[in-house]
Amino acid sequence: MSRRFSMELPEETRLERISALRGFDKAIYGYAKTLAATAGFSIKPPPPRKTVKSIDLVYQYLKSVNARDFESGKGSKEIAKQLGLSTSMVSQCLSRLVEKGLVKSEQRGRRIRYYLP
Amino acid sequence: MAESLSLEVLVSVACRRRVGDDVLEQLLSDERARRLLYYLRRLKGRVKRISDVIDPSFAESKSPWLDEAELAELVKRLYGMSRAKLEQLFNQLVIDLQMVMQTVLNVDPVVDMETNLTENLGKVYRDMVDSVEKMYECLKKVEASNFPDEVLDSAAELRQIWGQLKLKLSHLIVSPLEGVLRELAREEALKRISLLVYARR
Repeated sequence: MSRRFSMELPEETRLERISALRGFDKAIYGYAKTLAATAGFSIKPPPPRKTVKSIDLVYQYLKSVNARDFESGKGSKEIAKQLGLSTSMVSQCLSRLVEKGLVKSEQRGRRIRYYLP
Repeated sequence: MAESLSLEVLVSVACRRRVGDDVLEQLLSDERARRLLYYLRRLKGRVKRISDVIDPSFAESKSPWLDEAELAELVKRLYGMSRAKLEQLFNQLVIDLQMVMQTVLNVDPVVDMETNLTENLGKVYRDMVDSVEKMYECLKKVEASNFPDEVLDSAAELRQIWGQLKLKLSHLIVSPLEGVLRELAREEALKRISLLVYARR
């Protein structure tokens, strides 16, 4: 008998495992889907995608690079480049994080760096 | 052995022509697939035997003009005689389905996780057990009643429930799984054909 998972797998792992099915397993996967559809039974819907907010991404990025002071801090352009977001979006997120006191900003000359307090 | 299959037979399988179970068995390399083929064959045989008992075919009827009471008496005797046999066949049918399910569920856990296979097969199984229980009830009514109309009604209900169950087993279990096995055999046949073709070059 098959062993059931006690925890949900991340979607990427799930899809990888499905595409890795071969031979008998793959054929039974097709049958199981048909059975669910033809008999009016339920197919478990995929878990809803977690929407990650840009503000969280920015905060997590600063955390991951361990930006703790001006030297290790990052500028908005650099963060935008790393995260693939627009500079204006990152600037907005950073100003909100600064307002909440989660991120500090420091200006030296023309350079503004952001880091965790 | 698979090597003994001729190119003609392999082409028949590749073209999805109907071939015997023995040919399919030789082309199925996975042990689970071979086991499934065996249990499906057993399930089909059992369904046929139950059908023969519940709805026997008469080659010739010397007295076709039976009234209701005579017909009821005939049905009562028929089911009275074959009740023990039917009970045994129903029990074996349940076991056969369990074996098919056990083999089908012996797959990568991700299949079950994605498709709720255990739950859906469980529904088919519960449906079958319910139908078998209803058929037992019908058999009891046929035996216990002395009124021809009741006997004939119960017999008709029994045949109706069996007809529905047979259809369900055929459409949800036997036919699609046979299709799965034929496709697996076809994949293997294509591999063997290409091996034969390239070996000749």
